[in-house]
Amino acid sequence: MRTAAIIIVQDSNQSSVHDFTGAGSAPFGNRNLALLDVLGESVLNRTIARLQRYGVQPISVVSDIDLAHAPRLSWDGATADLEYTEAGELLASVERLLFEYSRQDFKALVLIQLTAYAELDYFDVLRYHRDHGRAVTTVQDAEGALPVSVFNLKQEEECAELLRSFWNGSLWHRNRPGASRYVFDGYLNRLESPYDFRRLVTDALTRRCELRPLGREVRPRVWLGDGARVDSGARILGPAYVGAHSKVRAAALLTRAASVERNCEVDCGTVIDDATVLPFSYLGPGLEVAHTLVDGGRLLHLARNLELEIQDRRLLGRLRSPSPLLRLRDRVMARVRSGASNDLFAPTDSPEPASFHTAGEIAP
Amino acid sequence: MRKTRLPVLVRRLPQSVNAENVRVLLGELDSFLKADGPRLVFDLSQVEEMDAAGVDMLLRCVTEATKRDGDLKLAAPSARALVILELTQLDRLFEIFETPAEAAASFGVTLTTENADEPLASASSDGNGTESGESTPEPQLRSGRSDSDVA
Repeated sequence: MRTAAIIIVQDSNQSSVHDFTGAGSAPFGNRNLALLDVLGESVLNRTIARLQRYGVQPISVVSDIDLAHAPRLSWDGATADLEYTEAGELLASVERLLFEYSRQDFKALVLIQLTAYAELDYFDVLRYHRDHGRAVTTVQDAEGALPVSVFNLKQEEECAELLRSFWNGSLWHRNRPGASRYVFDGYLNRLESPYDFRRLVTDALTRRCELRPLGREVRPRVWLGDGARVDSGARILGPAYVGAHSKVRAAALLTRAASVERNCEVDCGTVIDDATVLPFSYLGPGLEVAHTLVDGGRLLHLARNLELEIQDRRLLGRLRSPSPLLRLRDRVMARVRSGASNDLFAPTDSPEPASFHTAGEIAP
Repeated sequence: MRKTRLPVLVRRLPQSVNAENVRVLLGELDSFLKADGPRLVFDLSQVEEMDAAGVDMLLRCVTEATKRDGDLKLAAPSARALVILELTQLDRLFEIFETPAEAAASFGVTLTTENADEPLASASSDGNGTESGESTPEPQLRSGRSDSDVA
């Protein structure tokens, strides 16, 4: 069954625009958490890769965020078509794409509003959809609806009406005519809060879900991204993750599912304990970052439910985004690697060996 | 032999402890810290922001105080101040009390409730061992009011 997909990435308050393009960062509560890196890749990229693995192609991303020009966002334009539109025009864009796919003789359309991480078996969902022959198949788990539906493009007119129901949420009403309901019982993280985001990181590092860190597992449950550098005097106690091109300096300690995403720097003696450091963040020397999300100078203490911004480069700060040329090089390298292996979740071989010092104490 | 001791100085730090106001603060405390046995309490209840200069100031004050047989204790940190203290691991270096009165009491003196609410207050114990608290006007950190202890 020829199937296309549309992923809607919505950020109506425009906080992520500021977030990914500027030097500052928006409060964590205002963000679309599916755009933040989780162990090397955003939920958006991982969702695209999952759809591709199940043969869903082409994939269009409709967004009110200019993803292609956001330097801190890991977006690979080669994997999906991107349509950047005004917040008020999203529905119209999706509707237009739906009719286009219908005219191109696609049989089904997977429509995803990207607000959650779900390990859906799309083979099973599409088979269920085909077997029931309804205009739309909605997906739900024990706790409620997921923002994922499959539309039958053979019933174009009905699809247009159901699309509006998808938009206003009435599609998931019980006994909705023309809709069948697929019950999902796999791993789901609704990413409703930064707590969910952090839980996704720990679940992945402790293998409670399929999500795998992007990089090499150099010790049991210790992953390093391409070009990550860990000083020989630093300690990494697994499970832990150091993203691509990040630096962990002497006497630093990463422990209890600590994750340092790409292009970060952890200065000497700093402890990262049960915390996530988002890309392009600098952590000064001698800090103790525990139960926390850090993004540049912004810090969310999860245990105390307290968010604060520290405007001092000596403590926390934002590192400069790479030049467009370096970003292009990284994308080319990523394409080369994905050409060698179609499985984007597979551990990648570093083109330049990570200068990981075996003398450094890295315990499982 | 009698040894003169300064009263315990309770200082409420402003909302923002940054490079701008740290210099003023250090200037105000300078002569107090250079006296014999300075005993300080910083009330952090109003602190919402603190940068590396603020951290440096705390370290400098405690270093100066302990060098002269005194001490610096922290009191009533706001939630934000506490996160910064934990982040910079200063929570392990300082004794932190729930109220300025408790911090003053740890020096063996009592700070009355009304004085504890003042931005700047000093507490002292008299020669008979009875304890009292007094507030001092802002700039007069060294008002010359010192009490005597039998060494």
